[in-house]
Amino acid sequence: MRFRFCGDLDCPDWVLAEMAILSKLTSIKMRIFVAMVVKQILEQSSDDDKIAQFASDVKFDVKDVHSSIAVIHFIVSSATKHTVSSDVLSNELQQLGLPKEHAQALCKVYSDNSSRLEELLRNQSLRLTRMESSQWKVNLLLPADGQTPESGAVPTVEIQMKLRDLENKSNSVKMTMSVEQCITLRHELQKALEMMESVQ
Amino acid sequence: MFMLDERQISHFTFLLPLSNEDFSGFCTQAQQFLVNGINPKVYSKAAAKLSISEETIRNAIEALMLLFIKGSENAMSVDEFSNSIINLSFNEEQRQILTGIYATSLEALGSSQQPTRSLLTFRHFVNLEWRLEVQLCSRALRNQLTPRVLIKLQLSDADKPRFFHVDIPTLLHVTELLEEAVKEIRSQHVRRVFRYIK
Repeated sequence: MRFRFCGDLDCPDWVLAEMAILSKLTSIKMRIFVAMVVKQILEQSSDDDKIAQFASDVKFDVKDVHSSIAVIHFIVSSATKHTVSSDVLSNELQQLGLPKEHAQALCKVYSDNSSRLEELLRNQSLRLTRMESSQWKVNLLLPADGQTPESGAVPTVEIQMKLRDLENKSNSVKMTMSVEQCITLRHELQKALEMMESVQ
Repeated sequence: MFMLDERQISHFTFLLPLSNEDFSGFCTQAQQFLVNGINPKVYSKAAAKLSISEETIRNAIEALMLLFIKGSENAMSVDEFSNSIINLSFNEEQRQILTGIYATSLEALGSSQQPTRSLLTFRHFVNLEWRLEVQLCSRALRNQLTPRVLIKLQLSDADKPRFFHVDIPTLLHVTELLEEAVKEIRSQHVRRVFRYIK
């Protein structure tokens, strides 16, 4: 059985097995639980006390709680990953055996948070380096020893860029360039920007 | 229990009439060769001292080394080793010497009841992340459309992940090969092999 929210692949067995456990909740409790898990994903934090309190509320034991969190995490993140609309997600969850109210509760929470989830996943995408900040300075080089005084002051541009690479280490790149080089660089980058905007 | 063939057993015949001192000298030499590597000068010196051919000495020492190797390969304890050499034609004292040397070699190789470590270590797959990029233009060429995939591959041996670009034809080829491998795993032949090994 191919499912869109699994990326047109078969649904993993452990997700199917969890549906029975999730159906034991009432739909209101389900909505609260899904909201808690989504909040945990978005803020990358783990609120153990709240989860423990909820678990004792619905009389889940520790293993069940962990597996339910994992299943909801999987469903929500792969639905966002494959940009599945909330109706399609609701249909597919019902096909897997989740009762209608539970599926709808999950999809409501999912659609409320979909843009924030997308943003989070986009930031987690693979990227080689990111630019954190850049600064520039214009220096005026006065004639030095060995140069004739008529050559006058020469302006140069100094640019410093702070980059962050994959291991989260900050690198600093400093460079100096003459006026012509700076003008050419700006011109080329402008052309690149126009190309990017034309694609959008 | 080890299996030695006729030729290897015949190499021991040179050692049998030796005095205990000489015999234990040969055994320690064999054990040192196992730990430090073979030194051919020892063969020529011993051959000159005992006025026997170098070849006989080499065969004898290498046969002793083989005995110790087979012992540790089959993860034999010292008692099992002494039991297995009973039907070789050594006398009591020589067997005791051999067992003593085997015990020290076990300590030296650092394994008491464990089998020797496998000499083949394969790198295992840990994680793969990918990203599809399309190069639209560059300083050299202003109008292009080059798709490629950036791959971050993490294997078990290196702690740093590897990065590389893959162009689309190579990627298609690699996926074809992997699909073939998956098909092979599900084939009848491989399934039969798994059943027998289990």
